[in-house]
Amino acid sequence: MNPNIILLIVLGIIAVILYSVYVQLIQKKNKVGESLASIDVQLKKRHDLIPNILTIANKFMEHERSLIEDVTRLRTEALSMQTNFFNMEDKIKLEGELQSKLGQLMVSVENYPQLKSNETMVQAMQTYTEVEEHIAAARRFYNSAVLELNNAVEIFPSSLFASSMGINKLPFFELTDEKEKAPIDAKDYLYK
Amino acid sequence: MLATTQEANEYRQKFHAYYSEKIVNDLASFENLRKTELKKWVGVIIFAAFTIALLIWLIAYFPSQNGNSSGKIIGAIAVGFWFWAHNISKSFENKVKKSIMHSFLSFFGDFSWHPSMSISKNEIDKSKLIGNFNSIEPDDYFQGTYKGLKIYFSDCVLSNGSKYSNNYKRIFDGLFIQLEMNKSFKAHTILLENSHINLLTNFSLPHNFPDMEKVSLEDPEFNKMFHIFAQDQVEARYVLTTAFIERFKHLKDTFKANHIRASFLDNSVLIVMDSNREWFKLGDLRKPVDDAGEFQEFFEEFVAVLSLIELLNLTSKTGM
Repeated sequence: MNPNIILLIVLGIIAVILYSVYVQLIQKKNKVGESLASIDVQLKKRHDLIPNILTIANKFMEHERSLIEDVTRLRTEALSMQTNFFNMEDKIKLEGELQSKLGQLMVSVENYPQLKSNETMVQAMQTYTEVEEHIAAARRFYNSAVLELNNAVEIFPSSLFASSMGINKLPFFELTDEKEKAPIDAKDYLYK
Repeated sequence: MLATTQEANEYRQKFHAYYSEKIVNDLASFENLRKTELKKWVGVIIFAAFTIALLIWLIAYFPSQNGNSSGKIIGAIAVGFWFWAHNISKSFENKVKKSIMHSFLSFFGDFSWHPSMSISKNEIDKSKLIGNFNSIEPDDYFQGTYKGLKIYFSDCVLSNGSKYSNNYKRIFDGLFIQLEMNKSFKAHTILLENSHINLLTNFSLPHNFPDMEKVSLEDPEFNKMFHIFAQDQVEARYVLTTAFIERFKHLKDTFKANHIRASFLDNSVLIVMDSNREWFKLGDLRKPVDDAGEFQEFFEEFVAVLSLIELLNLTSKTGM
């Protein structure tokens, strides 16, 4: 067989392999984009719910002023921050703080029996739990997509394409609050 | 109900007392009928054995040119006798069940039994868990509410082709369990056991699910056990929490099922287990009607299905 034809075939095979690596990398990047959009949708639900919770909390929770103010401030900051590949670390940190403060607010509700039995608050708390479940699910989807992308960014030969296309490793969406990561001591809750 | 072994034992004892008090008396009247039906059944078996032996003798002594058709005739006659005997025992079983099922189910709460109903073909098709089939042979169908959640379960056989023809093919034999979940979701998610694909269901992946995407969860063991397809990646993870998948992994062993699959759609889960055996059997002609062992087995099967709600923690909003 003509050596030129063999060379052409070999080059063709290499081109196909490289193209498929490139396509997979783009697919993985798009998957992360899709998961980011999912997270945004779920976070918006959380942001929409906060004013309702705060309106009720304001009426009853006199001693939690600073907590309510923190939640309001963090929500405003979160609303003004766009979600994209470049600010994910800041976004994750900010949403982590917001989640932590909201969690504290929900725990504080336990200290206000009148508020705890308020029907609107009960509904808001149920919705909050559901929204947080959806956020957790979206976070898992994002982390799974990021894991695949990060592997592709680090492993040869897709790493070559990734660096030339400006695709970098992305951070995982993890709990940022150290308190939430720490093991729970039941005594803290049982003997209050 | 059965959170601990001690609780389970207490529940069994309660059932035993209930059985002695409410069910045994109703059963007593069936003993004479059982003996009569058993005689009929034995008669059919003896008559079948005699007829078939006679036919074989005739064929051996007067061989025809077409040996194949003689074999087919004997086969058809044997099948006919089998159905005759089967009908006698099935009809007795249904009589017993009709008579005592109401009091039996009262023990568990708000439940009803429908002997000739099953989960609908539409529901099965919608779940996308079973390949093509054109016939459902229902056996038992139960519906009720347990721990505030609706539950439907059905023991049935799914098949293709006419039962009496050569192209008859059994596609599925086992249990369908539909459970309401305390979660709100619309998108469709399905779990198919890896070892099961292409064996019974005529599945060829992934073009069976054009509107679904493959989902890869964070549990490698679970990913190895099941193919997961979903219309929505987030909702798939919303129903398949890490705690839920951990519990789901043990279902197959708990139920001694050959294969297990599940479909999550419209706030409920449909769990399908191939077991190749008849569930919820009562009224065996060959055993005295007050034989407690049969009831015990029925009780255990019924409780196992209800325990799914606790096992999978479906009453919880978070699934944790």
